Amino acid sequence: MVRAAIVASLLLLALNAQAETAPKEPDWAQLTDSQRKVLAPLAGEWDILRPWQREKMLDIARDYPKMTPDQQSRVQRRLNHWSRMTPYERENARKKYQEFNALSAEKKAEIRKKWQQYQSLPESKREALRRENPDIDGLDDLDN
Amino acid sequence: MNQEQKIAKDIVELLNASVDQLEPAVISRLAEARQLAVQAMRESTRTTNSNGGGLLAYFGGYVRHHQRLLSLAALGSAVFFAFLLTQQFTGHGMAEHGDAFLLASELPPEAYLDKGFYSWLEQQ
Repeated sequence: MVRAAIVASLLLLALNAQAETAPKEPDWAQLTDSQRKVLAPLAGEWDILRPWQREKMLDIARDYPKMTPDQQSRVQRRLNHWSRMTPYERENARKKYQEFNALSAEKKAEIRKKWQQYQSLPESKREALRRENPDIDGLDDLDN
Repeated sequence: MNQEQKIAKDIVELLNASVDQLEPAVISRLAEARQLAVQAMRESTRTTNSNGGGLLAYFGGYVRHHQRLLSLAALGSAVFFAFLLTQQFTGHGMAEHGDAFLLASELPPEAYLDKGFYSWLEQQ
């Protein structure tokens, strides 16, 4: 009985590992139809992406079906710009996104509204604001 | 009736036959010893019950009788828990934390990186 349980647990772990060891950096031609559909904005540059970049994009394709149509539309629109960011920029964006996500619903709505107002400012004003305080940490100070 | 039962019956008959030949003093001492033994047993049972030993004894008995089933259940739980842990560590269990959800959020990625936006928020 003990032996059977050990065999079962080893089998489960092996299956899990197998799922992880499937080719992580496939070429465009090796992607599934659903992956190609999600990653269509990257079709022209997929084969020159580094393996770790492809892996990150495949993670996006994996989560894509869990989203609403509006969310999926946003992903498609932003995918190109995202793939061209530097790793440093992407990592910073991830940190700030986590901070934003931790805010209350009301605070999030307020910040979304502020973003739209900020977008309507002249580019010169926005550039001046960027030069003013280059080392602002993030959104965590604003949830007070 | 098998051989063992026949022997036991013979012993009982012999003991019963010899009871009539016992002296009254011996019978009295035997009765007194029996009384003391019964009293001691009652006190022992009362002490055990006041400590909840009855309940523990019940569960102990249950575990002894269902040991195989409980062992299976414990092993199955351990296997399932190990599976869940591997799911967590490989990231399959993390909801809404991936890059896809960042891209899908109501703020675009550039909003998170725009230092001018943070300056402006501070000023509001």
